[in-house]
Amino acid sequence: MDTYPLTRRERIAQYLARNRRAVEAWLILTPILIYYFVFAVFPVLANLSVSFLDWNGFNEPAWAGLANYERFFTNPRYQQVLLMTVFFAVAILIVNTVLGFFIALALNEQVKGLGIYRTLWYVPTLTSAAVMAQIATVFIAPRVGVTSVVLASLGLESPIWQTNIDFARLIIVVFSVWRSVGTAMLLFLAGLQSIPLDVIDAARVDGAAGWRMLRHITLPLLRPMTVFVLVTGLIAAFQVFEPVYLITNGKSGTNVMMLKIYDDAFQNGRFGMAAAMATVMLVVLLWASFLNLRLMGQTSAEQQ
Amino acid sequence: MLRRRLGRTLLYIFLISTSLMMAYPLLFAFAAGLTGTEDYYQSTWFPAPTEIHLDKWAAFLGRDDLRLWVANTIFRAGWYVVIPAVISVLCGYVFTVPRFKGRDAVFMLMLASMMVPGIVYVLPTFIMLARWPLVGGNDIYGQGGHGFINTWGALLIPGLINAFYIFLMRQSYQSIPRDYEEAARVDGANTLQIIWNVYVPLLRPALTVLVIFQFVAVWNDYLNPLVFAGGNEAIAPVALGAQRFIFSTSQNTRAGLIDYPTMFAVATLVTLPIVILFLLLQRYFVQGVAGFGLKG
Amino acid sequence: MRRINSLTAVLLILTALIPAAAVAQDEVTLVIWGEPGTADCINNPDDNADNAACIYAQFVNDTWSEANPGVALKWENQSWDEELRQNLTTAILGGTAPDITVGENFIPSLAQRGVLAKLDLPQEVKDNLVPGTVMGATVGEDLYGVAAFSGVFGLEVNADVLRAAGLDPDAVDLSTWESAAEVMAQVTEAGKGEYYGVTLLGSTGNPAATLFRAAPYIHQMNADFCNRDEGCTEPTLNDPLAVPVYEWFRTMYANADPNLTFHGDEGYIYSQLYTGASAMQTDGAWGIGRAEANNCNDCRYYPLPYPAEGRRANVVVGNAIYSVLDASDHVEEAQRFLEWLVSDPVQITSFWSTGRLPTTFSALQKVIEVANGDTSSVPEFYFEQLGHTKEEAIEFAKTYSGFLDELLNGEVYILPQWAVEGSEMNRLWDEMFTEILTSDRPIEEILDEYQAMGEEIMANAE
Repeated sequence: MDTYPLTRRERIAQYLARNRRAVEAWLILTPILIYYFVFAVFPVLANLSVSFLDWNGFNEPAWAGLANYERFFTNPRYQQVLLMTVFFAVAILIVNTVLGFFIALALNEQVKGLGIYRTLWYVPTLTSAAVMAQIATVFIAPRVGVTSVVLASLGLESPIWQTNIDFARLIIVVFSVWRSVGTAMLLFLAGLQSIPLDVIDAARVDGAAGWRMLRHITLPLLRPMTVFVLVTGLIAAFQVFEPVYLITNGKSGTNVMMLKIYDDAFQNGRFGMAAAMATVMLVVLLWASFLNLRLMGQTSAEQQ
Repeated sequence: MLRRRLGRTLLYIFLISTSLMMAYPLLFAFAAGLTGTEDYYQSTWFPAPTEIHLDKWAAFLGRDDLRLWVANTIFRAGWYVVIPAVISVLCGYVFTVPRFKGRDAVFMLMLASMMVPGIVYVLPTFIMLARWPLVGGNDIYGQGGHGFINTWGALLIPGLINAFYIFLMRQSYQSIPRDYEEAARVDGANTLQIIWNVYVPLLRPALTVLVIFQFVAVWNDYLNPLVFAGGNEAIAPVALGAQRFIFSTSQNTRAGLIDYPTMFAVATLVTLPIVILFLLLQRYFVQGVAGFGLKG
Repeated sequence: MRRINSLTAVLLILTALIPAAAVAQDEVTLVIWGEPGTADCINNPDDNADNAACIYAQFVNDTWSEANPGVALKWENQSWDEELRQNLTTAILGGTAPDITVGENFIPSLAQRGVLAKLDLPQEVKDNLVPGTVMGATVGEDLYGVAAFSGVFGLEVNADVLRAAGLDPDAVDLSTWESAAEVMAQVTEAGKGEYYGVTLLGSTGNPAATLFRAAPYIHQMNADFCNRDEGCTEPTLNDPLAVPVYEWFRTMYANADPNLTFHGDEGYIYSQLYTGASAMQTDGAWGIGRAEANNCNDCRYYPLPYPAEGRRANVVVGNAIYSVLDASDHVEEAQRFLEWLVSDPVQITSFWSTGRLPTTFSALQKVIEVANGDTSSVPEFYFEQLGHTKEEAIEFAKTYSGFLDELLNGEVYILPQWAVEGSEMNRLWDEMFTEILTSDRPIEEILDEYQAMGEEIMANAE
């Protein structure tokens, strides 16, 4: 091969020819990444920088260092809000996952009218938060509300959410679950239906049935779907806001971080504090998702 | 055999009863919207109308600007279906098929945005849109006007990239054998042609998921139109219009007197279109959802 | 705390704070974030064709435009209360705030941050404003807005329920807590669970709703929720003067349907009076229109009962304060518009079209004169467009006279304007109120407990 020196243009052409796929990829990615940096990354950085400020939105911002974070982790009111957020997140996540899984399991038993059941379970997730809140408010009204009527027919006294913290929290969990369990159900059902029939048959020949089938065949094969349900469910459950804001407005010990962020930013004019809380939440979500992925990855590695 | 039949019966009893419980709140809303105000207040656990009142439905459906709200919403929903679909189909390809340095790092970076609490975006996005240079009366420094606020720009520009769909597309690409692409390459197709002709047909289930999720999100979106374009009634969506309709039909907003049958009639009418969409696309949707659980 | 270089901090956010440069224009357009009802009337006239309240809105819009050809008005409905405040905060940060905004309970906190323009009104205009209606627009000595219309609370009584309980509605004494409590007890006893002596609002999703109905009684005893001289940074929830007030509420609760009190929906709770389930309730002047809509045969309106050892007092409610934003390019025109909003023709049109109370002494006086038989100030449209007679006008003014008198002669206050943590403090008070009603713990003990929590919230707010 001749070794005459390549001109600049030739070298570029050669590089492009060799790395054609990579160049194409970057051509596609570049505009998308620019947009992504402006509208997705920049706001997060702006939020991070505001979290170090003492700023009411209108004054000259003053540097606050870690004061906002310190306040969040030492102030009992904020601690209670954090605790409540974790409680709701865990409760909603567990109920959604377990209930969704068992409904999916039941639906996977070749039932007649599968589409109808599936639709009935999924449709609540299509409703808007406003519609959910309207229904919830009417349902939980003492004496005339559905909850009361049902409890009264069972001979029980009707609870008043304003005075009954447990009931107030239960309402938040119930209506959050109502509006999100359909997704978990649908995901598990899809996962179950994509398990190849020959695997099931082979296991059946080996004598697996009932609980053993579930434990040794179904659950391991469903693991990727379970991870997905847990990770996305966790992200959503941690951000529970609408039921709290629209039904109890954070009263009776139901205040959560999203509502506190909203209050601090828009009602109290404490942008630094709101930004710090949002950052904490981001870190918690990243950490929890990462942990979840890793734990599930580990157990699946052990299995193999 | 008997045991099996008993098991099946129990299974159906369980399914029917729990499904009815799930549907109950929506059936309640549906019936309440058809009930006269007096009947509604007399009812206990279910507002069974003694006589069907369609006037609440008619009042909302007869509103002149309903057509405008629906058109605005469908236009915006269409935009937020098409653009994110294009972006995620392209990104899904880029993050799966070609191998290049930094690919997985960029993918992880984009995936991380899934964990960002939504409220973080509201203020910075608003300020960016308001101070965008050279639009809406702004000068080159972004001063002097209102930027994109209260215009279509504010309702169409933010939030076009959703990491969730990129993730979903990547999962789907991974389940498609590379042979198809190789064959097309041999035939001389370029990358965009391959994506369009080879992959997109196979991505249909995942795209259906995107269509439904995005359509529902835009249809129900109240916060963004309120904050970013609340001052322009000409571009208001159904969610905002419905809320204002309920507001204006309440006899006195300050006293909080809500006409429940009207409220539930509006709730029913606003929910119906997305339920119908779901029913139409249900089959593909379930297939697409199955893609979530593929090993990434 | 060290000040930082604004460049290094949040460059973009800060640029938004630079006031928008003035654009030279011949025609000035004032963007007004109006009270939702008013804005809706103007922007959607077709949907509101038979809405009498829209006469006022149209009058404001058309009359102003005719008299001020160079200054156009653009009305926007940006919701109310928390949503309005959220939108306003966002718009101020983004530099897209309107020229004029409405508001009820957040004007002082915005004024203190320098967002609003100080209002410069001629002395005689200022003196004509009912002080209670602009208390929520005043910081120190400075005025930051005027109320387009207002309201106060009164006692709404369903005379039929009294009759059912064997009482003579014309003879019962509802002027003091003691006498009213007696009537309530008699009605409750006679009702045997069918109907009750009083309707009480326990707690809903919106703490302000409950706070509004409790505040007049608090002020009747000269108690308060916070130390207002200090800018409402110190809570005074355990004010000893407030103890009898909460005892009065316990008395009322004992005569109210407990399931209704905590029903959770304000509108439903207050509509029960018209169905004959309750004899009386604390209600605003809008109750008059609502009673009519609900076909209440014989609903009557009285000033709120007051304690023997206290005084008459009230709070303004539905008090729509309009303020000018400091960043507006047309502060002067905007102020002129505000001044015009409290002029007699606008105020009087508002009352006869919407039934909402005027906010100036001169307009109140004119309406009261109608109640006394002089109908010369009643606007034409009341007879021509709405088809009423002079007798009806007199009757209308009479029904409202208790409310009008309260504004004209009573001690009128506003809700506590917490310097920070407003929603948190109101929520706390709401929880305290619920606890007082539903437990039998000593009131002092509960007040002290919540006072401590309130102090903690405010201490941590600094």
